[in-house]
Amino acid sequence: MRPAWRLATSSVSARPSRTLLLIAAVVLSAALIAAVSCALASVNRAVEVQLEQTIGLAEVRLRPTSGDTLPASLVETVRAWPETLHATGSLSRALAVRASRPAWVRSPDTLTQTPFVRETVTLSSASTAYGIDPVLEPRFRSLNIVEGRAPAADDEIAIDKLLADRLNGRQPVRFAPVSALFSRAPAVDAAALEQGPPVATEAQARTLNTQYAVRVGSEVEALRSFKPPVKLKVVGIIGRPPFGGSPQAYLTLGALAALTSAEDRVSEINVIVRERFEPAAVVDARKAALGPRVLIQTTQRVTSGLNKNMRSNQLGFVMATVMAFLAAAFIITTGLSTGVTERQRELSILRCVGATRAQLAVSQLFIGAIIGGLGGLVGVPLGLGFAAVMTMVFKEQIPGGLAVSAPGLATAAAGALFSGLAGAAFPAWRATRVSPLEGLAVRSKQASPRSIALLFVAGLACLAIQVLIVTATNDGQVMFWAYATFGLPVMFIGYFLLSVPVILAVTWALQKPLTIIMGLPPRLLQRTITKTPFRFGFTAGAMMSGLAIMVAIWTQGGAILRDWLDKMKFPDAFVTGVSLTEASQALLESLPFVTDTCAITLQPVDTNAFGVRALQQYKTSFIAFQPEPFFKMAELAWIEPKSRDGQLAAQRRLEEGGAIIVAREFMIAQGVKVGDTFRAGVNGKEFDFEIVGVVTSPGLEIVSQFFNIGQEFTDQAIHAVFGSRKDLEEKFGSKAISLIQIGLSEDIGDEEALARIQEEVLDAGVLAAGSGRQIKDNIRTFVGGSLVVSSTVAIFAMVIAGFGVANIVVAGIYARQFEFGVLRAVGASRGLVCRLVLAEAALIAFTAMILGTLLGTQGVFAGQKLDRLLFGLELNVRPPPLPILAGCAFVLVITLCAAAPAVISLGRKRPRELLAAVKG
Amino acid sequence: MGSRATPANTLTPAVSILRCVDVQKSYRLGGREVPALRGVDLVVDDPGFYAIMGQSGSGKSTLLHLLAALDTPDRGEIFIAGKAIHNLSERDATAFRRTQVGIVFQQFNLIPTLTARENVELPGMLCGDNAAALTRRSGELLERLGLEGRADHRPDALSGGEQQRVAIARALLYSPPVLFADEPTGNLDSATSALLWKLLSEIARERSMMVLMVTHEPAAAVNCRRIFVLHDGRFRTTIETEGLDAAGVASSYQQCVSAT
Repeated sequence: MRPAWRLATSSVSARPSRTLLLIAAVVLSAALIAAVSCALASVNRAVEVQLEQTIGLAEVRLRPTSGDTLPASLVETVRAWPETLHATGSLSRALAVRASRPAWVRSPDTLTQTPFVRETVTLSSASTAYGIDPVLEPRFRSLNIVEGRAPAADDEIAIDKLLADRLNGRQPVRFAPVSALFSRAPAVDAAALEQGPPVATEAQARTLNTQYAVRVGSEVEALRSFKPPVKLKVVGIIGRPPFGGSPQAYLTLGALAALTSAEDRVSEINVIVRERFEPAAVVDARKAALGPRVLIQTTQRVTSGLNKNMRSNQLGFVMATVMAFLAAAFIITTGLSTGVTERQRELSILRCVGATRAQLAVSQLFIGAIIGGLGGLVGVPLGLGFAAVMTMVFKEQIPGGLAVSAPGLATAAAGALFSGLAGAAFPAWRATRVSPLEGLAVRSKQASPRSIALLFVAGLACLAIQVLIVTATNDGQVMFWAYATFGLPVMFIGYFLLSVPVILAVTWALQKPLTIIMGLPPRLLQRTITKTPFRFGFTAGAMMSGLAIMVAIWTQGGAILRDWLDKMKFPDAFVTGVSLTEASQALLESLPFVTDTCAITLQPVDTNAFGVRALQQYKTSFIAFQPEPFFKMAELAWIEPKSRDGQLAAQRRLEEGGAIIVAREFMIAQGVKVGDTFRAGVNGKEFDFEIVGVVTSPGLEIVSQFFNIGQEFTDQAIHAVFGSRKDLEEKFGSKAISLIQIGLSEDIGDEEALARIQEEVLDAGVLAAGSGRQIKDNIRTFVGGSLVVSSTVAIFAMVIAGFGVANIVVAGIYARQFEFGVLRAVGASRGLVCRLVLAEAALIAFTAMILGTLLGTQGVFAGQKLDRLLFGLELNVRPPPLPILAGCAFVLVITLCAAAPAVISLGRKRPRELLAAVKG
Repeated sequence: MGSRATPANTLTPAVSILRCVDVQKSYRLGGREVPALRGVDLVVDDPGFYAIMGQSGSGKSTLLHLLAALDTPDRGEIFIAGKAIHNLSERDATAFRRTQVGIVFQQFNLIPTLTARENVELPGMLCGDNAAALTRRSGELLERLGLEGRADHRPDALSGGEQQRVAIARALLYSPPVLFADEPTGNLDSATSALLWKLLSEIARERSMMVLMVTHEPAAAVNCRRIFVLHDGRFRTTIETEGLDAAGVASSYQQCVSAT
């Protein structure tokens, strides 16, 4: 072992710059994985912190089975259980809060010498308010108070930073834009205009405004429907919840109940169980007696759903890890194989003086281990540091700070080492094939057509295996696991192997025009490539991954927007809230520009229809509505039944109860049809419904997720079934309203309508109002943003591969120094020699473009089938030309830039230096 | 027509230093079979400085490679110091090359990234020998060959003659009974070449070992005690060089070749 180690360290230290290039590729791969794993862990922890703050020390939780409230007397009943140590009830309602305060704003009079004038600005905002027992609540959880304290009296309120910001406005203006969803436009109180001290600069205005901002000690008002507002004193500021969410406020239970007409009601009861009792046993023992309208579960059950959904996020991370390190292994394989070829003579000398095959092979593996090990050693802390910086930059959104994912870091380190060893495997095998005599011969060896044909066949076989896996089964679960564990990696390897025959084909096709463009002697370029096609081909193979990622994500993203989002017909407008009532609906109907309203409830139900069962826990939304107004407003396209009579019959059947209409995605994923029985479960109870129709989605489940209706952390719902409110009440025990769909008259625009709705109903249990167009725009922006972020990852992957290209170019130049020396000696200029190397790099780039595009496209077609089987999405994939062209251009730029330093160095060498390379 | 010489050093009188019996070797070049050796018989009993002379393509380098266990014959037998090497396994041939034989090439064939000292120690490093012992041994050899001041230089900082002397030192690390040199002065000027031939002769005498040099130059062969003439894949004759100069060797060689 020691001789092999010494050979390895000698080789590595003799070529420091090239070794560093390979190490850099591994460093970046490891850093990427480490950063992503820690970022995911930080995000997960922020959500867990949020959930922990919500659940606290409670071990058992009681809630109404859907969106309603429980009688406060139930709290006393629960307290009387022998297994209860502590029990407390809390209430959550929508609450509109208003604050008036002096502010310095810009004067409209531009000629005045005091550009900032003092006004009284009133801002209001909807919020989710929580009513808590100030005595018992601290036993369950502590609020994330950043200033002040929790409310103790009925005239006190604690607000979170988000609510405080909204009440302060970021910059007090005379006329606020009306597009803000959560805040009412500020009202300028002309009568309260006062001229305070002259304020000339914006900085001065800002300083004064800060002094008068809503803070601990300020007075705010809680708005009530048809009643005068109630003054409350701000006693505490709570930390911002992660990822936005709605503004939050905390009051005493009695105060909130009185403000929202929910006296003697609670939204949930939290229980700490005595030590000798098991929470799960308590749930089992009490469930039956509580009846169907009360959902009792352990809090562990709540978080386990969260954990399962978070685990699904890990899946993408795992697959990205595999691909990243596979790409790094390709780079190392190519780099070290080139090294073996370049050092053929040296290896032959070693064989002559008595080095065994095993010593040469093991030395290559040691080199791989050094590259991978050092890459991991540097890359992992680098990635951790990057994640730390990101959590500092986004500390508002990730209040829990950096979470270090030990498994993620271990994966990054192990993956780096593995990529080094895997990458060294082929060069190690090649090193064993070095003959003592053949390596010493000056004779050059052409790549054998047989080996190229073998690579071609092997590459096609790998692609065929991937196709087989994709087409062999229509069971989404089986296909997913087969594809994730085998199909995807084998496809990558297949294209890597095909890189050699492809570069020969590309050379044959492009060598003439390239020769002319670059001013090279005829056939020189082609001869160079055909002499060592493996080196050039595998380099192109290492380069293809980033482009493939880009092709896949832009194709998939475009299909999602075009074939899924664009086909959704969202409602004109809607309002959501925690405590909407029929009175809220009546108020909306009274508005002159509202043509129709429809009360809708979204109840998550278990169907096990979608997703990867071992990883994800998707529910489906049972959307209960009033059929007549709903069908009038919703632009549903009927898939079945097709006849008008059949559709009317389906609507009548819905109203009778026991029937549902399913979204088209069910038909695609599950093959259901009219007449089939559909089973949906809530709280462990299952109910059968007759399917009476199949329709396109009105996007209401998207609306609910967008506005965080329901237990979004634990119950991610995708797709929907549509049923009657009668079934909702009889089977699921709920009368709550989660959404009111609104039809608008044609003579009013979205923004104006929403602004007026907010003014009229902000204090009527409404938390937010929005339009379908806004939803679509927001999703489009979100998807677009995701595409940009993913493109960044793809570009990063190309940059990593660029290090591999640089290594290969340097190694190639080194190996061919004598050849270049001869060219220079017979009269070739520096420029010609440099252009030759650049032309070779260009051929590598063009080959990578072809491979990357094909790989990405083939991957997309597999993804298309998975989308259909797992999520019922039927997407027509059409690779978008513009992003692909941009990706190809980037590949070319990266490759040429990677080759440039070595080319410049080659150009500087004198012919004598190059010719001297033959010695030794 | 080989010749016998008295065995030396640890060899028993019955064991020749080198013995070849009907050695044959062909190569496949461009689709055709090219016979390089057509049945070589050679026996060397005594230590000393010997040469194999022949024209280009006569098979002399091929023979040297077979003797050094760099390749295996198609037919025939080869014995070095009594050890059969014609049927060694790959592993045994490698071990043989490491310690039982020394090889010097025309191209020097030093590892460019190692210093002179490290190149000399290379076979020992491959054996996993004690570093201190290796350093001591390599120091002795480099001193003997006049390279003690160049021990820490890499090959690109050494002249051709110095590089070849490093190669010789490497070949002598384990004091093998034989040293094979394939056109060792092919890349050197005449003055340096002369020094090198003298050195090889001294080594053969001092260490009582056989040094067998392949050359096509009479000026090189004249330094040897005996020349084996290889022609068309077979040994034709032997030339005793005592009393001959380079011209005399050339003339004798020409006569041998013309006569065949």
